[in-house]
This record gives sequence, structure tokens and C-alpha cells, in this order.
Amino acid sequence: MRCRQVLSSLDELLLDRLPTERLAKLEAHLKACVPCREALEEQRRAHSLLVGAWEAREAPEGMLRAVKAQVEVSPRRASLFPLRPAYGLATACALALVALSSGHLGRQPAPAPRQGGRAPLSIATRDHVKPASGPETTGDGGHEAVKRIPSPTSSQVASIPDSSRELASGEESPRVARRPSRHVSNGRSAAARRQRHHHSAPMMLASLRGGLASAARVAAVGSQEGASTPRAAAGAKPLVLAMLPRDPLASPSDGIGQARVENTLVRCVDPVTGKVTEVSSSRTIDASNQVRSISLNFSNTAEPEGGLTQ
Amino acid sequence: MDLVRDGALTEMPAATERDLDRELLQRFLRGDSHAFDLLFLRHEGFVYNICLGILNNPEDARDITQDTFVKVYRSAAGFRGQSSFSTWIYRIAVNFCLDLLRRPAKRRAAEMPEDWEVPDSHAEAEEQNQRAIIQETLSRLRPDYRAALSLRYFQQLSYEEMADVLGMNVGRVKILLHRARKAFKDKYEDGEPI
Repeated sequence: MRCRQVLSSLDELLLDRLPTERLAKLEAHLKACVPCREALEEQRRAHSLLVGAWEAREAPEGMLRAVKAQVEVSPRRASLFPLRPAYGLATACALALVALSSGHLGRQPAPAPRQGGRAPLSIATRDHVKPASGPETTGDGGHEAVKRIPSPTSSQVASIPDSSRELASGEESPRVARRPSRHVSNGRSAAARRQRHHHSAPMMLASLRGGLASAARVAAVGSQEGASTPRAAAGAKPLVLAMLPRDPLASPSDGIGQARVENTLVRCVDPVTGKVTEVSSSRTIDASNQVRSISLNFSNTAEPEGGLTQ
Repeated sequence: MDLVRDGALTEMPAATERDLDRELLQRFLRGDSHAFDLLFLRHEGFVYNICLGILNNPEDARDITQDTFVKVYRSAAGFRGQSSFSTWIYRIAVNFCLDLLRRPAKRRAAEMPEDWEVPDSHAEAEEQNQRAIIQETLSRLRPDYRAALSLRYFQQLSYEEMADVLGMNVGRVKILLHRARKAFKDKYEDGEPI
């Protein structure tokens, strides 16, 4: 038996949990090895002090109430986003869209680009939010923001410089940003768009789940192919995420008073495969300017028309 | 729905603690918030004492215990069942404790326990004094040493359970315990009086 093995067995020795055979070997080693014997004495001394050093204490009262109070302020996330990190890109895409549609990301300072490796997503925005009566204060945390999202005023939107709305490397393709909105709709009629954005709550969730899965598939294809191509190796951006304007749609049938619906579209383009995924969000906002619901809808479109890729 | 009063718990096929936790968790995820209350009541004592053992401060221990259960409430759907539910909770609690200890500015000084009593006899006073010295010595150890010793000597977790909670393999747990005990003994012997 070696010293290293002896030292890793001291804990079991102190607790009398060594099998007889190993105990005999260990004792034989200890007889011959002074450093191991000293180590054992040291450990034994500490062990004797530590046994019984802790005594169980009663947990203070009122903790359950406090926990309940905290979770009621911002309820469980799991029911809305039962997603694993494997859905990283799709989730990021959806969250970016939600945050962008609420005007939050647009007011953040641009993060520094990553050094080396794959370039980050590039996001460009245009004014798309129907002006509301004014911003509201929200609690911290993303989920709270989803529940009660303030809409930026038109002056706030207008005051965001274009450069600050590019959130990542700032290399977003100008051709994407300049695309007219008719390309965004892909020829769908206004009635069809209205129909597409009119979901009941279960449909919204189903749409979110199904859409995220399909977007994840597209993202996975893009990631794999992007990583293996010379373009990606040379530092080409694997994906362009651009946000394009949509017209607000009237929503007279929501049944919550003066509700209105704001729509946003994010178009994800993989420059390597040329595949395009559209993620559209629809927010229902009631008369008191509270967001009542958010639906996300994903759709894979055909190959992009010329000029979408970098 | 009162699971205890209506006999639902006694009717459950769950025979072990682990199964009981799993059943309660499933009920909670199906929307039965009372199942969460029961999970809380089953584990609050252990979690609080783990936190107290690591943090050596009742206020911090209470806060971290609450944070732990808030996290459990919000992340319950993400629990995959690869370890036992109790191990999962302990891991959350230990991580919160270690995070707190790594932020020295936020830490509170060790406080005298609320239930501190004047000892009746000299022997009792000696014992209380000895315990205070040990606690003070523990408070001067590295957070991961303190966590390892607390899990081993207070919670009496096995190596495997400790490995799960601390996120390391069994070999590293043994090394950590060995070094923690050595550091404790060194500090105890040359420690300044409190």
C-alpha cells in the first residue's frame, strides 16, 4: 500500500468503515511509515474535535411565508420556458425578440464583441413599436419584464441612435436592415397576418414550443455547417439576426377593453446555408398599458432572395 | 388540497423518502402548491443547518435557506432526477453559501446564537466555550473546507452524496476532507483566542 492510498483511506479509518483486509494492509503500512502515522494522528485529533461540533438548530419560523411571498412576486419560470440550454440559439432568438419588442435591449449599451471564435449574433432594429402613453417601472428579472413590459414612448424610440441598436459586433448587413417591409411579409395578406397572430393562450404556448423546436433545428444545421466551412473558420458570421418593422394591427376582439396588438418580426438568416427563419411576436396590451399576452411564432421560409446574405 | 389531511400521502405507493420527494415534486409541477409546502417542511431543517454550518450566522443561513427554496420553486421543472431531490436542494444551498462567502463585503459577522443560554455548571460552560472556539476556528477556514466538513460531520453525507452536492468526484471529496481537517487542526492549535 502506498502513502497516497493510505491518506485517502484515513477518513474511513477514523469512522471505522474500512474492510478488514484493507485495514490490515493500512496498519502494516502505518507501522513502517512515520509521515503517514503523523498524518493519521493529525486527522484523528481534528476528527475528535469536529464530531459533535455542530448541533442541529430549529429552523426559524416564517420562512415558508417569506418564500411564498417571493415566488408570488415573480412566479415560476418553468411553466413558460421549459427549455434546455440545447435550445440555446432559438431561446436566445425568442428572448431577444421579446426584449427588443419591449424596447429593453434597445436601451442597453452595446456589449464588446467576443475575441476569436465565432462572431456573435448581430441584431439591428427599426422603429416598430406603436407609441404608448408612457413608460412604466418594472421589477427586476426577465420574467417580470415579460409579465409587465413598459412600452417606450415614441421620443424614447426616436432618441436611440441607430448605432446603439446594433447590439453585438456592429457588422449587421446593411442590405438586411434596408430591406423594405414588403419582403418581410413574404406576400402574405394583411388578413392572413392577422389570422396568424390571433392565438388563444394554449395555442401561444404550443406555438412557442413548436416554433422553438423548428428554429432550433434550423440553428443546429446552421451551426454545424457554419463550423465546418472555410467561411466560418475564417471568421465569417454564421448568422444574421435582423429585426424588421411590422405594422401594428388593430385587435377589437380581445375582450379586454381598449386592447391593441403590437407585432414584431425577427428574421434569422444563415449566410452559409442561406436558410431563413422568421420569428414573429405579438403582444396584446390592455388599456392600462399592461402586456396581457405575448405569442411567438416561428416559420421557416424559402431561400432568401438575392442580397440577404453577406 | 391538503395532502396530509385527506390521506393522499398515506395512500401513495411511495415507500422511500426519495420516492416521496419525487411524488411531491410531480404534484407540485402539476400545479398543487401544497405539495411544495410539504417539500419545504421536509427539507427546511436540513437546508437551514447546512447553511448555518457553512455560514456560521443565523441571519445569513435564514436568507440563504429562503433563496434556496425560491430557486427550487422556480427551477423545479428543470430537475432531471439524476440525483436525489435532497441532494439537489443541498447543492443549491451550498452553492448559494459559497457565493455569499466569496463576497466578503456582503458577509455579516458571526453572531451569538439566539438561543444562547447561561450555562448551569462549570462543565457546561467549558463545553460551550469549546464549541464556540471550534465554531470560530471553522469560520476562519476556506468556504469549500467549511462546506465539506459541515456536510460530513453535521449532515453525515456519504462520499457519493458529498460528491453530488459539491460537484466533484469521490476522490476529490476525500482529498478535500483530508485537507480541510488538516487546516482545521492547524488553525485550532495556533488560533488566537476569540
